[in-house]
Amino acid sequence: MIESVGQSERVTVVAEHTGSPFTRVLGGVALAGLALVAYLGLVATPREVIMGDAVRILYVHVPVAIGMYVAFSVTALGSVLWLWRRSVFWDVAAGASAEVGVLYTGLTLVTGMLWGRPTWGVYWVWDARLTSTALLFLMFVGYLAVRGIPAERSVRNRRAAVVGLVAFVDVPVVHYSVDWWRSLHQPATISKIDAELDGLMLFTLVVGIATFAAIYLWLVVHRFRVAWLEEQLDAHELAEAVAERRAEAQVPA
Amino acid sequence: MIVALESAEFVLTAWAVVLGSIGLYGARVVRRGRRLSGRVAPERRRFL
Repeated sequence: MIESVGQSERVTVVAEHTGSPFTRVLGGVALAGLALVAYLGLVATPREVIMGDAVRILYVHVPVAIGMYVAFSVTALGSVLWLWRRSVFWDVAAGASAEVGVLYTGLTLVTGMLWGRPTWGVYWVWDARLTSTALLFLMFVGYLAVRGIPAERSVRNRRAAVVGLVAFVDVPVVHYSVDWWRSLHQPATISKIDAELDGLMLFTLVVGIATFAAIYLWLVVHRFRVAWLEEQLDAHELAEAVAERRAEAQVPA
Repeated sequence: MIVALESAEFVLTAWAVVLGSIGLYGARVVRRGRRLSGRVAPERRRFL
């Protein structure tokens, strides 16, 4: 919002978008990071001895998978804080983060399938990591559907918070599935980073993780602001409808 | 050589899907924000 005060009147000019100086800087950092990751991941880094060029999917697959964990952790935190504080802020934050989390989970699944085909020979196996990730995706799609069911605001928020927390239980299952069950999927890349990756590959992966974290934050801030505007419009329309009904009730027949 | 070419196609598809999906989703959110922000009074636009 920009405010300018004239000599005789106060003029308020409201920017009609959800951007701010913070999101503009963040967007610039994310775009620069993407360009760097694309150059490093697709051109500068070496091919892997066994997987060949397919290893280049690592630089998008692992960052979106980590973004997925972060997104659903924020949803769980927002759900707990809504149940505790009953603050609309935390409900809106939980919903915004879940939507971006679903996008990142979908991308984790698709990039994983595209990586699986040239390395395992198949797009999909009902392996513990893949199955638990697909389940996570479906549960958070369900969470978004629950948020969309028309109900009184506090009822809808409570339902969403409970479903969000139940769905979040699957996040550690996804992460530890490769340790708990025999899996075709490789163990956690991050914990084995030193042993597995050459210096430039490790650097590219770290830049990728930071870049997709910045993109996540940019998307969540914008999505949060859109949801906040929707909340304000709903509340305003409800107040107008109530005022109209009251006015109608007071008019003599 | 054939294996490398096949891998390259999977790699480019994966990158295109990731960048394309994030780009489309981001554009949709920004457009929705532009549409809604004009309809909400300035005093109700906290957090923007």
